[in-house]
Amino acid sequence: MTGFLDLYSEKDTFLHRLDPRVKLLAVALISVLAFILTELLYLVVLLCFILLLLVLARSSYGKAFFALKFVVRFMILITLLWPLFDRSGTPVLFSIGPLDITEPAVWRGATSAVRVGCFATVWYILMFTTSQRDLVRALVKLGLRFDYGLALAISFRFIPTFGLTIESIKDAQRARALELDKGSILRRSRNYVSILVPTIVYALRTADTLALTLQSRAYGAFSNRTYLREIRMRASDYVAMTVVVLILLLPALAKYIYGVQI
Amino acid sequence: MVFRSEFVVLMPCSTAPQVRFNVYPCHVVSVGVAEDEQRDVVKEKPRILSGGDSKFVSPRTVALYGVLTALTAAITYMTVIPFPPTRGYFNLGEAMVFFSAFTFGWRAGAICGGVGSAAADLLAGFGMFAPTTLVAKGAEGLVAGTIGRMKGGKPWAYALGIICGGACMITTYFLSEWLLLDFGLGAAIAEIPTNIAQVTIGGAVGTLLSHYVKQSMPSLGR
Repeated sequence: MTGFLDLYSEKDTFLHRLDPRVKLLAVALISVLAFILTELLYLVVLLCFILLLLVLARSSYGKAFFALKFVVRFMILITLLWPLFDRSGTPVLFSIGPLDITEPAVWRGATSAVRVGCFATVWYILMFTTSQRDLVRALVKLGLRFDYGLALAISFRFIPTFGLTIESIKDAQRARALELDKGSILRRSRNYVSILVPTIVYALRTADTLALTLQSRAYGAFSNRTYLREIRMRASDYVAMTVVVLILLLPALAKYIYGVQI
Repeated sequence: MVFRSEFVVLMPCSTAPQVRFNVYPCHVVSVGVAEDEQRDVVKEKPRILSGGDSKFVSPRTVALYGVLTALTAAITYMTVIPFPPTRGYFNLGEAMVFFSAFTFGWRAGAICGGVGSAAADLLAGFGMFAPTTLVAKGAEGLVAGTIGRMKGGKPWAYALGIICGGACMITTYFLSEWLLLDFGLGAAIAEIPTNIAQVTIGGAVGTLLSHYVKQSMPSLGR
């Protein structure tokens, strides 16, 4: 296992109560905002705002640490690699052999790294506070066809199951003297075939049973589907949506109408 | 068609509780339907009670796509092969994309590969890659499924499918990281060798998987 199969944790904060559609909109608009901003200072402010929301979502430390570890590693990689490929600008800080590290390139690298940090962390607002069920419901509400929404819900439900299946088949094959940690990478991948084939066959049999189950539960018997739980926009959701739209709109207006350098 | 949905809605109510837990829905369906026919029922579009076909895809398709998507995500997640030069990002999720494409066609390859890999990204916390992954792996599955199944799946078709699909995936990731996500040329180039290795090994393993699974489940070809 490299991480958690689900970043969501059950809490009762305003972000958890928010309509998932508003959160999807927020992720999209804040990503666009990160494109619009070009100054390092404002990007850092945006990143701090996103991190503040994550704190307000009261995510568990283990999950937050796991998630941020990846982001920070990526930001460092970008900061280091950017000046190596971008040699424009005049104040040369220092040279390593043929490479000139210039000051503007370093700043551009840092800006890019913070922007990528914004892109990455904004998704955690959605993933930490929205259950998979609500995510699928929101997508269906937004116009995904019900049958594909059902397939998506099925897949979310089966990911941990198949994860466990792979683990147990791996153990079973190891008990039969399968080596997974030795040899070249080609050899190791080849050895994984003897784990993946039983897993896939098991999964396809599950799919057969599942199809019959769907059929027997009258899947598609009515063309107008009704739902037990509907997601509805409340007054607070509309307020949040307005705030999110304003967060994008005001900087965009300032930049493109009034020509403020941001 | 012998089977109608009403059967099953009524069935659990009329059976004793202890029986209900032992009876799988498939046994219920088999009332009056031969096994071959059972298989075919789930492959057809569902029927609306008031008559006529519904606009939904068949239950078989829903279940298959759901399961393949879950498998793609789970395998992407679970089979990270530890290998020092690639910083441990290396995984066999690619093999599942090629397997879906070669075994079930371009539609399954595109949907299950794209959505499954994107779901793995989302769940693992690499959400910023999810839209890119959806397009890149979806295109890979689509191209590999289209080209790889030409002439009934000859070895050269598989190889061509892997090369073209892999090229689509690598290009999409490169352009997205360079221009869209603004990683800079350096970080985007640094990803390419990892991706090439992943496509090569994923393609080889995916082809093997497709071959072996077809062998052990001959009904898949139908």
